[in-house]
Amino acid sequence: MLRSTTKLFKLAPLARFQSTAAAAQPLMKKFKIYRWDPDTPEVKPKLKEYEVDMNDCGPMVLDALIKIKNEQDPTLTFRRSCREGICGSCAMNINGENTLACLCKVDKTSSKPEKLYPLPHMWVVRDLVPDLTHFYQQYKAIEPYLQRSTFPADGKEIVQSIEDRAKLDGLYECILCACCSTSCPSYWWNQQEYLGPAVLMQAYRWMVDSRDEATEKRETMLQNSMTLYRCHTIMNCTRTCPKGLNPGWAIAEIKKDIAKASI
Amino acid sequence: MAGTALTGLQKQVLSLYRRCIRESAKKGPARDIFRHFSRSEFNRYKLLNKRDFTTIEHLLRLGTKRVDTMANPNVKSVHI
Amino acid sequence: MLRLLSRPSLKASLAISAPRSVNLLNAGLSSRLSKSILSQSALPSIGIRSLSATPKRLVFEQFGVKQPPGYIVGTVNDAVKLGKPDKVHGPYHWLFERIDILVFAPLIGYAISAGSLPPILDATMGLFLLAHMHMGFGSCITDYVPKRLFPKLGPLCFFLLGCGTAVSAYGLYKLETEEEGLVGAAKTLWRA
Repeated sequence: MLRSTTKLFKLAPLARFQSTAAAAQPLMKKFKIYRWDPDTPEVKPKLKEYEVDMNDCGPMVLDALIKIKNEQDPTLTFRRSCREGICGSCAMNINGENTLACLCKVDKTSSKPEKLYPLPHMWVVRDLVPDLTHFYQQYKAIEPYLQRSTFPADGKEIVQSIEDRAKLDGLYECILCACCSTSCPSYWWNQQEYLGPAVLMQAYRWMVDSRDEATEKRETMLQNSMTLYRCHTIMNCTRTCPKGLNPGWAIAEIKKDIAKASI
Repeated sequence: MAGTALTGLQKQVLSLYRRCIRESAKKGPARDIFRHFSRSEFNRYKLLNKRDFTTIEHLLRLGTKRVDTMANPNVKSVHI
Repeated sequence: MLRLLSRPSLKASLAISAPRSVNLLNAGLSSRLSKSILSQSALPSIGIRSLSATPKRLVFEQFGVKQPPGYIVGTVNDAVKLGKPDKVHGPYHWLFERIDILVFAPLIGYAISAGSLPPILDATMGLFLLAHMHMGFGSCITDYVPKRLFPKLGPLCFFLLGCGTAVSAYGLYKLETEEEGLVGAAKTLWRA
């Protein structure tokens, strides 16, 4: 797997060069981007339009954003880091859907402008940068680390069966980009009390971990009307997840486990 | 201001301002610099419309964050 | 600062859209002139967008609810405080919601296919349907009128919901004892 990926990267520049040479005609694509400057807070936010030649640009929305920042408007602000969907920095609302700009292709066939907004219902720091402080505070509240009182006598690793390890698949891949939480209407209305899909999925990730011994404590702290049970299985989280994970299912599993434990 | 009830937002602004001055007072010799800085920051938005709630709320959030930083005893001075 | 926020709205008529540079200049000038930040000089009122409509914010303010700025309580490194563990409003409520549906949903199906229900089953269906509706509306209230934002209106909504449910329960009792039951009433309504 690793080797084939490396090969792809080596080939990529060549392929791009060929496509540029073949299409001499510029393919202009409009981008409407949310702009707001904290230095002038009394000026209301607005959409600013940019045009990018897609024949001279990478395929993803993030490529276009970087091109705009380099060539047209250095004041445009957004987070980005890995450009391959593993860091979760470039989460934003693209054409009405929360996703990672680096994993979202620009639709070259449509003449409609791409609309870029920051993640919905979050405080905006600047342009496309939302304030995720509260989201991280919530993540901290579920104590996302291994908790146990006994350790193997040989002082080596805590072993886990293959089946137990398989339970973590589809949970550990979460990169905490906050796309799912910010797409959840329950989280929009009650984010001060409701933890939101991303954090709850991580809570479940530690509950099912066979090496963790604090399951009961983890279950107890979610047991009130707001923290967990504001999930109404709207499933926006699962639909929007750029990594293809299923937070809605994880929350349902937590509810089932807690119900089983309380009878 | 007798007879005029303050709105919740106004009270929040005043309490933030009071906190700024109180935190400045704890800064020893740099007290005046912090005080002057806080006041100048409040003065910057003196002419803001009182009905511009979103902006005032934003400034409140920002101000709270900055006064939290300022309250840290390791912060010794501030430049304007 | 005090004056800034409490300037009489009458001056709204004077409002002109001023460029930011002018604003800053004025602010700088007045800060040098005025001795205290609270004793604002009689500078001309240059406000931007004074004539804005009453925003949603006012609705919250009337109930005197102060929200933490940016939802941040404590420092940025503190974890969020979770609500107190409460089995009744947590897992038991959730479990009862599921069981409730399992009770009345088959009964509704049976009533539709058979056309009638024995009085005991009819009463059971009515009661569980009522409980389902009560919990559904309750969910709406916790979602949209949370105590956090509406410390008085939220509980009032729950009280009104309780009153509604009590009246409905009385109506249900009347239907079951004096009339032809819930299914019979639905039939009459359907034909009417």
